[in-house]
Amino acid sequence: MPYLIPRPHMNQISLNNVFHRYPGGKEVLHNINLTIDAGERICLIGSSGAGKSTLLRLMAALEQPYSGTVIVAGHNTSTMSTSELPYLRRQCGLILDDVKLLPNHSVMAHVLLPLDIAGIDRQSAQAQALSVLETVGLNQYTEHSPMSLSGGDQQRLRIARAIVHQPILLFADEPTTNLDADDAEAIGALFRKINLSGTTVILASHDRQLVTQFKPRLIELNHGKLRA
Amino acid sequence: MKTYLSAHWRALKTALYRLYHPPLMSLVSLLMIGTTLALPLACGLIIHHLQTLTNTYSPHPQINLFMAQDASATQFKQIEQRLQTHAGVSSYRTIPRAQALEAMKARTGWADIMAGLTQNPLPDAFIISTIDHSAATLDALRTELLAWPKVSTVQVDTEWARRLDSLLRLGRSALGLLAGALSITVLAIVFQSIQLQCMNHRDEIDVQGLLGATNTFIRRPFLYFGYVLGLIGGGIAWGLVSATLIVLNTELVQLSALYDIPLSIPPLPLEWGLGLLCAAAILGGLGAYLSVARHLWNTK
Repeated sequence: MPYLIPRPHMNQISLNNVFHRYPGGKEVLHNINLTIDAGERICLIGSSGAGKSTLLRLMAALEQPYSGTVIVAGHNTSTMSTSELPYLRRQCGLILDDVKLLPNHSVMAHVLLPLDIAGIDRQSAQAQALSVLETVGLNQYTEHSPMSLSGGDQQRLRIARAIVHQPILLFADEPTTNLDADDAEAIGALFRKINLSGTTVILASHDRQLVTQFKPRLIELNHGKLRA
Repeated sequence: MKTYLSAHWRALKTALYRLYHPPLMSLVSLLMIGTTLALPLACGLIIHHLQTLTNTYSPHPQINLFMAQDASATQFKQIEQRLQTHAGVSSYRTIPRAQALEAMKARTGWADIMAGLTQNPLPDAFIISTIDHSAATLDALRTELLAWPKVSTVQVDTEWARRLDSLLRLGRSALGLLAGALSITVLAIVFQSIQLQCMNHRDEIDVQGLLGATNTFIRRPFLYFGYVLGLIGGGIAWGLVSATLIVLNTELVQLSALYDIPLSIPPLPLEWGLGLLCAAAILGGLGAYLSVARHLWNTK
């Protein structure tokens, strides 16, 4: 697989004294200090409203902290310019609700999109996309609309799109929600496989089965605070 | 380079695909752009044609000097010599009576009348151009010329041309304003069209942004959409004006025969048409750029 490239071990994400609150809202994260190394597999756990998704979004540079610093792949997300941000995003894979599946695009078009954005030539991109679709088990659906796929296959497509450009970081928010046990297990196995290729995988999940299967470093949040 | 061109080719294909999906929305926009551009184009063409006609039939204020019927060839020569040395005359043209008669015979509708004449009723004449075109100088010269021997009539018949020229200048200024206003209208039409496109493809734009697309990448297919919209709109305007000219010229041919003036408007020159297409494409691209910039700003 093209993305099975080991990467040097280093601090990839570092959060220092991070506080976050939404405008007019209460504090969501309180004094978070955290370091994540390259190649780690992390699972953010905690009850609903504990701040898992917010922390994930801060680490994925989708939001900026109210105060404190978030360093991702050597870049301070609060001070980096808007023109630099796309290049950081290309080093990340996102499996979030925000990154929707597009009904009028084929499965292949979804997987080609990150490669087009990265400026990969079409021939290499197609080979790379096919390889990843094969990895997630969707190679027979290349010309299908994502809307014709099952929930599990749609999630596989999201994963394929997130990893096709060989990101160094993969973020997934509740990746097994609404999936049956078999699909959830398959997705868990896929994450493990991706992590073994060297990609740092950071999940936010309630799913105990996924946690057991994935064997990640657990980071527990409770009312916006890290639990020691 | 190949990858760069390939990215542009894909963006163009996306733009063309969006043009036909849904087709009705694009068609309405194209017709609006076409008719909006056709109006100043047609006005410009008519004014240009009128200007050409005015220049042909009265390029500058001229004085027509007619000799008396009984003036001899020697007296005609003497007047010509005086005109040659006159400080206020820039040039002149002689029209001997025989030549004037031949020209009259050649004119439509006059041949029969001329054939019935026993002798040439036309006088020898001079058409004089002056250095100074002011009304006072022309009047003074007219008086001076009238005093010369065997000069029968002196006409300074340029008022109508001057009035028409003033009207044409006013028309050109008005056309400039109209073209400016309608260019803004085209911008607005493209802007609105692309706004609708952005709304229809909002999810796609968001996803591209989250996957690391730069604004240039996101903007590219919309810019092509704007260029294509402008280009086809310009083509429609060209077609509309050409079709209108065909209809209009059918009527003008009859009018031309009555007045013996070539009133028929020539077809749109190629350079005008190409200029129109370029201008329309640029307006389309500019409208698209502004529209996507607004959308991206709002999204941010």
